[in-house]
Amino acid sequence: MDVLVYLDPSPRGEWALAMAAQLPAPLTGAVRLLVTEEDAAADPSLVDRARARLAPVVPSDVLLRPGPAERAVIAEAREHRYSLLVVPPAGRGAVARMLKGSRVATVVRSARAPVLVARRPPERVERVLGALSGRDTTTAVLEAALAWESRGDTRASFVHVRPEVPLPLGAEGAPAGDPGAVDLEAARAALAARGRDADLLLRDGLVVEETLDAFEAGAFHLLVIGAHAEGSARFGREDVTERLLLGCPGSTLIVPR
Amino acid sequence: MAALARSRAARVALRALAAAAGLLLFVLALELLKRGAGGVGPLLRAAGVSGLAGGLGAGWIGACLLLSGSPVAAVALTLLASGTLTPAETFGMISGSRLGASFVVLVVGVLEDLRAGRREARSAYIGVTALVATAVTYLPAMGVSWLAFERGALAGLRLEGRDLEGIVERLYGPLLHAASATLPRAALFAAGVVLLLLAFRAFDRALPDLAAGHGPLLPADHVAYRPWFMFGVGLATTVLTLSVSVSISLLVPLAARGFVRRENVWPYILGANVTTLVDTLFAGALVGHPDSARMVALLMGSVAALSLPPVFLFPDAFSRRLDRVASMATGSARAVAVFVALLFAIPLALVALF
Repeated sequence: MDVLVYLDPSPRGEWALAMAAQLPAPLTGAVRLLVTEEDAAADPSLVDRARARLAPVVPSDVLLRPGPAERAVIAEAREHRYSLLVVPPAGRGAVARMLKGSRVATVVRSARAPVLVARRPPERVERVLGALSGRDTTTAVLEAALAWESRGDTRASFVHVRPEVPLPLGAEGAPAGDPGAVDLEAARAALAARGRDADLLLRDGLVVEETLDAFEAGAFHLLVIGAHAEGSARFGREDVTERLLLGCPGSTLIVPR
Repeated sequence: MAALARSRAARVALRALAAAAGLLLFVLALELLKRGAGGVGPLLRAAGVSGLAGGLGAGWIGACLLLSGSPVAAVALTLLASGTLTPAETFGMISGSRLGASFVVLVVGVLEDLRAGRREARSAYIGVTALVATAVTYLPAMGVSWLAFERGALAGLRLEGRDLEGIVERLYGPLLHAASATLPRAALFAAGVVLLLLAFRAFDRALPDLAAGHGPLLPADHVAYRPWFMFGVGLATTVLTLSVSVSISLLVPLAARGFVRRENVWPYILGANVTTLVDTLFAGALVGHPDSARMVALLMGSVAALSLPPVFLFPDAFSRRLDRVASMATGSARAVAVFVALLFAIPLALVALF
């Protein structure tokens, strides 16, 4: 299937092109570039510069759609099936994000395809961290992270965070087993099936904070996470995926279940 | 169907009976406490209880002894009504009762960890979180509400209580006169405390038993909720239970499997800490001191106001810092032992030093 790369006229557009040029074979199909009509009119050389930056990858197509960017990406992703959408963040500050929302979060929420949020990519993506919840998206995250190893010089590691604590119920109501044991076992089983048991980093704490801390402590280049595996769209629920992708200092690949 | 309806009607009748009994016991307990307060006044003074800090220590220790904060807060108001405590000491004692109640949750958690043979004090995590979240809101709220009280805030909430005195006299006059004539004041006070505990037990029976639900109210062990949502759940649940300790145990039906996500704990506790004062507000209206209900309302308002910024403005930063403290304190058996010992020493030091 095809990969859709959104061409951002800002310097952050370079991040998306840099990541698109490094995609591993299992994730790469024909690369299609998407540019908004407004940006194409304002910067006629935008597409040519993007083609030059992507070489030797040759884009199969350049698509023009009316902006704003998130609307263009979502509309395109709804009309065609893509194996991956590559989008850089809009670089909105806290106030702008509060007023207009987050571009990448909007795309992730609306698109059914995996989304690669390109942010400050290194010259070569060599260290990938997959966050395994032990639930619905575990296999998808595992496969997506391992796909990057096909590049040869990339190594994937995995983190599982246990956020649960037991309630102080007293002897009578105490549950058997450890908190989060089921999810941890599921994550371990998925890794064991791929012979990667030793690559699991186990942490206890707040999911977002511990995952991002593991990402920074390990100097990883790419974080792979599952999309909305916990019904986060429902009333009153926290969108852990959104907090991770907005808080991650590096690139983030969000895979649906 | 008819049998089911009869059984439901019987349950409702029993709850109504328990509520009425609780109310009657509550009023009697407050009267006995007021009349016996003079007997404990010298004890409190001898122990060095004075000022906000001394009251805080006394409330903390009292909640640890009674394993609950609400009776201690009600006792503080009766001591105020009898002139034994000053308003500052009363604010301190009510706030201390909340800290003591959280300390009880911590000790229960530590015992649970010891029972389960856990190397890391995971059950104690909620106790530490409860204690720190309570301290962060109640300590400044205590000062703010006292200052507001001194400056005459909410003066319209002053209750003279003369009507209530007449009702109490008609209900319990002979009993109270006889008890006052025959029992020493310290015994009256002790009887008041026992009746107060019985009253709260009756209230527990009258309130809906959320823990007996068949399914989970919220899958709190599986899903991360937004802080404002859990804050609202904490507010609502504790209105129905009147106790943070009981409310925290109600996280069982919330969690279903006996676990709860760390992300969900602190906003729940902040919400519970606001409405846990509802029964104290009620006691304030009954106790007969013109300012007692106003004081509780001021404290409740201050706690609510101080809880809102962490919940709505900087939840992530608050959550991160609180988790760091709780994780450090519960990282090993030794760490939790040091933390508990320190917290045990604080109220004693407050009473001894201030």
